[in-house]
Amino acid sequence: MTTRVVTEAEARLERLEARRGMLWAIYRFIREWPLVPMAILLIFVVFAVFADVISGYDPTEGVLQDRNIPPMWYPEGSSAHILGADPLGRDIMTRIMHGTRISLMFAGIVLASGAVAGTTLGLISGWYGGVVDEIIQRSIELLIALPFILVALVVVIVWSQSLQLVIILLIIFSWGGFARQVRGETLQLKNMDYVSLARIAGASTPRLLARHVFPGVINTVMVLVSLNVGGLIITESILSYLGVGIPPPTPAWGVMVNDGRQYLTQAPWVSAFPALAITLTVIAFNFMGDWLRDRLDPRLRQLV
Amino acid sequence: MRNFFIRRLVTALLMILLTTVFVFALSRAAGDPRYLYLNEYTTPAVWEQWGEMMGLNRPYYIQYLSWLGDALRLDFGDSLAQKRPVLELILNRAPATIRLATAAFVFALVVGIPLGVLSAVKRSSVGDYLGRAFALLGQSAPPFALGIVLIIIFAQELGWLPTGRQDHGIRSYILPAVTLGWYPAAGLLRLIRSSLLEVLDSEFVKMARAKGVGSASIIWKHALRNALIAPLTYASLLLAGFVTGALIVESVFSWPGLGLLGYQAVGHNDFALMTGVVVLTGAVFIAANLAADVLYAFLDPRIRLS
Repeated sequence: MTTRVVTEAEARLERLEARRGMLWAIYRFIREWPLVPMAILLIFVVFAVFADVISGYDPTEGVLQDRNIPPMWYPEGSSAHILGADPLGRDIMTRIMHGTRISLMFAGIVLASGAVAGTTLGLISGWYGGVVDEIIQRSIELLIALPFILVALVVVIVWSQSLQLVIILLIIFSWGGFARQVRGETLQLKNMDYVSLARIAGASTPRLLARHVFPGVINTVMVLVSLNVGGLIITESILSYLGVGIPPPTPAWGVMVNDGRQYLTQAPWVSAFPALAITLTVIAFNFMGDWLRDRLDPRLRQLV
Repeated sequence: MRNFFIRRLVTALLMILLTTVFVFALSRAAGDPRYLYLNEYTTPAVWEQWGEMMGLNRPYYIQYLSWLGDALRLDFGDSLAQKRPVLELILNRAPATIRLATAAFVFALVVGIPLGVLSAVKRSSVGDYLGRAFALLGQSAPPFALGIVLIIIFAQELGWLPTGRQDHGIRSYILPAVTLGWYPAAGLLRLIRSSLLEVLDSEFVKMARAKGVGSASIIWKHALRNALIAPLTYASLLLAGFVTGALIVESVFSWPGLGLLGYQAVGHNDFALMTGVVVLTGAVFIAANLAADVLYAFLDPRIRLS
């Protein structure tokens, strides 16, 4: 009975769509899939992978005669430097492409390590409870309560600026969110009947965690990863901008914006294009994250 | 309620204590503090004398306690670069930051709340999409990028507004306050939108509608008042966000506040100054988090039970 009602409704919907035709189908496809953000990300990924192939310029060595050349659509611009050149005569387009590589690699390394560490600790924390749980939860609270950027500033004054240091710092500060969420889900899952049955069947604790609880939290972890990419790229660029992140002359986007700060009047493009590149990438990632969350795990909507 | 408050207070105090331990440990990990004042050409006798004076031959925990004692009296020593007491420098710069943060706070409230309400009430309208675009941009653009682009557009190309510094009266606040306030405004907008959508769907709103209460009265009196709990908590969290936000925005606009002071301290490797700035702003950050928690529990009795 119920199935007939559903099929009838579906048939009506199909007839309706058939009447609206091809355009309507395309519209629905665009609404359903985040095509624009996907396209933006695809372009940036191509930039990151093929930076050396696309551009013949060196990202760190400039030609001083070319200093502060404007973008090609300015009267004084030339098509040799599409987005112009910076105060050291380096091609901005080339540096942005190499910067994409740095940002994406950085976000990838930090998120992968943070997600693995956070998921493991979250599983342990939720499964065993007791003292272990208490210690892990209190350390997460501590990490959340500390103003991260200030801490990074002090740490960098002590041990001078380096790529490894920034990566380690960000990993330390990024596992907490994963651990907290995974712990909550583990607490629910461990009392499920199928877990108890597996235990009665003689499954060992590592097997229970790996084969029965972990698959239940993997969706959440994936959604958290996608929601965190944007914020991570922002944090890295802020640190690089403040001069405590990725050390120059490596073309990190934050460093590039800072390079142009003294030349805002004569050459605003030096700062503007990397600033736009960061914003565009993060918008695309945030959009994808929201979309993935709504698809995979609508319960996480609460997380803002 | 009292137990909850005491537990949160104790946790917050522990956090502040841990921050000081952390900062002290870092200051010792940085190497012998005598290197900051003396160079390798000083005679061993002078070297020893300084060690005696700074108490470096005592065990670490004694050194920490005496450093903590000084810190509790707000004595962080002298700035290495500027040769003046750290506290004096901080107090000189604090008012500028407080004024900027207040302006940004006002911006966040004035823009975030009405746009959030509009976005929720007129769902899927042009206004809703504009509001959500505003929020997406605010949460995706890092503050320094936003600030630089705003300077290029409104100060360079259009010439409407000054680029910060405080010599143009109220007009010089506009760009820095918008840069600092955009992110919190975006967060506020999204929170109000989602919680208002939830409340507008609840039984008592339908009841009011059925009784014939006017639409404006339902939104502003019945629904918004109940939808404001989470956003209000977030508003007190904004203070914590301003602690790190000010650092970035002030360095973009050369705003003479605490953030710029900390930024310059990094440039000069001025450890004493940085320690003072971090311990004090860290304490403000933790206190703001505590205030948000307490406010939330006070407004929403369901929290206290768990």
